Amino acid sequence: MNILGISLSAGILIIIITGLRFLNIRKIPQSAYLLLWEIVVLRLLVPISIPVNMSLFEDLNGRINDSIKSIEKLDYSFFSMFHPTEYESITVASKEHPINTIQLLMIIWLIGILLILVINFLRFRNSHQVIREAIPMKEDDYISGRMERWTPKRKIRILTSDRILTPFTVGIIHPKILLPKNMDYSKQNEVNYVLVHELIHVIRQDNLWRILSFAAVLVHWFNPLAWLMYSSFHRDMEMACDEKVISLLGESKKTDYAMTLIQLAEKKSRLIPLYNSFSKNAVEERIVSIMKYKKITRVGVILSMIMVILAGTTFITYAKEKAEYNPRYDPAVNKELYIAEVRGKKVEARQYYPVNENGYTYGPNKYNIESDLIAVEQEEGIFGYCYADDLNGERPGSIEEAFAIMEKWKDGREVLIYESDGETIVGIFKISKAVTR
Amino acid sequence: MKLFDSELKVMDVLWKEGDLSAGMLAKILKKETGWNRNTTYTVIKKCIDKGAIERYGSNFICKAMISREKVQEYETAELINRMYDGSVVKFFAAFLNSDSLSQEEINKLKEIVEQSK
Repeated sequence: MNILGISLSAGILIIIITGLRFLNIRKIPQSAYLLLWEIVVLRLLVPISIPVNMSLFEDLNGRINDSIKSIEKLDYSFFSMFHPTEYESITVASKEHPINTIQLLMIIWLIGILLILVINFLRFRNSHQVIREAIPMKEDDYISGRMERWTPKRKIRILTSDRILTPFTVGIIHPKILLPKNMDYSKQNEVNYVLVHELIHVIRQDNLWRILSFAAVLVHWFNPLAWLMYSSFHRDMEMACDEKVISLLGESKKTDYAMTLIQLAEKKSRLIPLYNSFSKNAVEERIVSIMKYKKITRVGVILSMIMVILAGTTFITYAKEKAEYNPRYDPAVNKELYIAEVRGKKVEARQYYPVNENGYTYGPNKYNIESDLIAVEQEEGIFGYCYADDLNGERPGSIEEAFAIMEKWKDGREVLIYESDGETIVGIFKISKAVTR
Repeated sequence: MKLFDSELKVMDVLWKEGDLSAGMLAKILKKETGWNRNTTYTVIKKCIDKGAIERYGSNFICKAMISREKVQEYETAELINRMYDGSVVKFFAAFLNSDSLSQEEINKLKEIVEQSK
């Protein structure tokens, strides 16, 4: 699996999840969406495919995989980047030298990553400094009492800063909760809500997922769906957190909690005159979600599990994929095998011919459709198969090219004969001189 | 001058203990706030940029260039301007009206007003 294939399959999943979100099915708890997004992020970051051999689906998935493969053909494999000389012997549809296009794309990709990192570096540095200068809260009996009760074993520091407007959590290994200085600490129920909300973020390791989702967008920046995933994921993180708060504190506290949120948002908007509509929408979304809160039902759990399992199938491919670098397929190491691997496979031929372990059809040419490997027999009694592509030779793009090809091969040429696996070489097939008259 | 909480914290130590080397400041603040050395140094630098601290000597001894009273004056004036229309009277009236003062404190305030006449 390579990056474009991963981006595509994850993209499909992102569209599906976004669609589900849009439908707003009440029964599905917000925390289910978290799991789905986490699967997407893992899919985007981890280049592993689980091969499953299911002949039932092979045809359908052969088609899907072929379309993915045709996108992959633009990219070949990551390692072929470093062996440009092998390209000369591979017949590809594009007339230009594939080397320059692909290397150019890779450079653009890397520049994109660099740009995003640079832009976000400054943001990160500023906020990081504010966090580092935060001061531990003056002894507040209520807060320390609550923290002692809820997380007695884990020491989560609570700090305050005069430069932040809303409470938030930072850190993965040593989580810290940051509270703004201008909060009414006398309203104990409000303090309660804030603490519980932030603690849930800590317990759920939301900060870790924020970083991972950022990494995923960094790698897949060219895919707009990745950006969609990023914003949706973060919104869903907040809503799932709200959901958990209500489930812990009781449905009766819904209104109170929502009011606290509105007040915090109001305060923020007063201090930032250009409070953008995006954030306003996010807060609105949360309030609506809180007010519509319903306890999690069994149906909800079952629905969620089904969705998660279906989402997990993005990791499964039905064709044999090589996940790691295999020197056998490195063109520098094994040129013939590499050529064989990159050849196209005719899916239509699978109705008529048997398929070998590499996905190529083989057999004597009996039907209208050619198999990928055609049976040949030489005088010496060598029986094997040649790739149809090899036998047919290069396809000329113009009359000039046709003559040039004929000229090139006027003394005949040789084509490799393989066993039915299309890998083991058993002999050489000589195609006799072209007839020019 | 406007000082943020973190800068005030550093000034606090200097006002209490007098001139200190940057290293000593870092040590004390580590204990009080958990800041690491670099954080303290960054805050000290910001104070120097604002003119609140001056550094001298080879040990980077830090000296407070502004007194606690001056900062109090500034912050209070800010507060009164921002929230009480610049009227000190309004500020005191609000203060007195809230139930946050004990009788003792009210008496003390009356004394101070008397003495400053």
